[in-house]
Amino acid sequence: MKFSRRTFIAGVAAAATAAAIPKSRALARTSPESWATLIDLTRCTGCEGEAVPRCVSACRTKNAARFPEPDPAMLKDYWPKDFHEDWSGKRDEIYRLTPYNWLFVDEVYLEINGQDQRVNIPRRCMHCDNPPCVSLCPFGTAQKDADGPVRIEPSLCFGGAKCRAVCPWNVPQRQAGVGPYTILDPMPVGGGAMYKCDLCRDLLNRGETPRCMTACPEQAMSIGPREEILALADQLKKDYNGYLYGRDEHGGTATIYVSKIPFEQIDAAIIEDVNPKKAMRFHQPENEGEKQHRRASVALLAPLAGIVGAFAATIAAKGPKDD
Amino acid sequence: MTKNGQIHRHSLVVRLCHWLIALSGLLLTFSGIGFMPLYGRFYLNELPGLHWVTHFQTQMNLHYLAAGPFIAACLFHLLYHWRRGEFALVPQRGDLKESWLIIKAMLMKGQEPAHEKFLAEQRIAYATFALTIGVLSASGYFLAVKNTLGWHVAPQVLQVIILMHLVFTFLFLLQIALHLGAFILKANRPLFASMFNGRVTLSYAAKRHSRWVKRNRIR
Repeated sequence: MKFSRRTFIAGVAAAATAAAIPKSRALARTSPESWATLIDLTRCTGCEGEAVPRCVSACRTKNAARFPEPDPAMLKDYWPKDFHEDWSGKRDEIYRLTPYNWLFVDEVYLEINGQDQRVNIPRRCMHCDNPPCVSLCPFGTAQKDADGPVRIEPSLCFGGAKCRAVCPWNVPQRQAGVGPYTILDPMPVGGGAMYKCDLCRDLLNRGETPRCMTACPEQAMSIGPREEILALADQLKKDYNGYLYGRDEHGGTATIYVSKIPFEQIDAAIIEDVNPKKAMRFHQPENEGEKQHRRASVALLAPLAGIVGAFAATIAAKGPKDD
Repeated sequence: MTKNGQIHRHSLVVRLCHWLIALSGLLLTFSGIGFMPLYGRFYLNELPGLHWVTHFQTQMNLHYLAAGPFIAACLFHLLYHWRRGEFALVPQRGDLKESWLIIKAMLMKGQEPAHEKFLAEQRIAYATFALTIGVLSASGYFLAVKNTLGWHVAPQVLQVIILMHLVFTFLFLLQIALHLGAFILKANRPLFASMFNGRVTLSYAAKRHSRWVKRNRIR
């Protein structure tokens, strides 16, 4: 291969592009002004004595109009599989996430310093900074807004439940019999639509606070600009001599838990009775999207390889024309 | 150009480029379809050695891995032939009409019009492939950049790009099916071998690509 000014310029361009691709992990740029939430486990009582925790009740009331109303004829198995996910007959379920329950309060019993202690943990979508449900949704229906909340647009969702499969906390929940897949029936595609907390997107747009937070009698949950919430979380951690969860886990999230008890201990109690694969844990999941950064970077350099290769090949070999 | 009753049709560079695009394109399609939870639903993961097909992150890795050679080979192809002034696959005026005459002749066993190196329908197929691959590459590249650099894109814009990628994937599949389906027709079969050895028999070329053979002889 002969080297010329052209090949040199192409080589310099290749090197410059390689240098321009950042070596850091692939974190979505979350602006300091974006929303973040704080859940103070030292305050949450789980509304003891009440049938339904008030945050759960407020969430259900506020979002009732958005809950799925499936077509009964479409409540059939996902052929050739012999199951389908129908929660429409279990709308009162409040002890886990369902398409009709986007927030629940987990109760965990721990032995702390020889004393039994109940920890109440409000659980909902963590609103990840770099959500795999968004980057991997094949229909683009899982979306992350610039100001933080991650939401699913059910009218365009086929209910493949991939978002749940890649979510470290198994958050999105599927309801059969709704969504665009019903139009394609009997084609064996789709399975319904996915539902989850959107941090009361409409209320945030109007400058209001999510219902779960305003309903909490203990002010255990709060929302604010990210920087402020992070500062508050750090302060509480110091005050309680406690622990944080959600700030750095999975590449960062918009939900920061504060606790006086180590989260490893709470996590161990959570998975005592529940299948770890299905539980909403306090574990340390890796963000797979960040791990893929290097492979994606190589793919990004591909055009340059093609351009440089073509120039090199045409300069090197000036054979007969091939039409 | 001619040797042992055969005529040179595709250079080694062209064949390598074709097969690189074909193989990486198949990998991209396989992994791309794997993004939709279809393989698990249809028990593909239960076949021996295929348990990994339902692991979405593995499919994503495979997609990135195949995207590099695919995009590089496509751009190489465009620039290489542009720089060498080789435009025989670019559609020409009257190609649609001529395509119809070719199909009619093949179905009715009539006389095909004399062809250049490529048939009019091959030129049309090339253009539609180029358009599809162009949209797929541009949208896929955009998504890779977004995922890598952490760009925030307006959700509505992102959805349009993702759906465009999805729709054009199905168009790409359809075009691959038509591309391979063309070899069902006996008249096209000698071209299949030429993608491996780069040659067709002179008798075939003279019969079907007489304008090309004539031009080569003059040259």
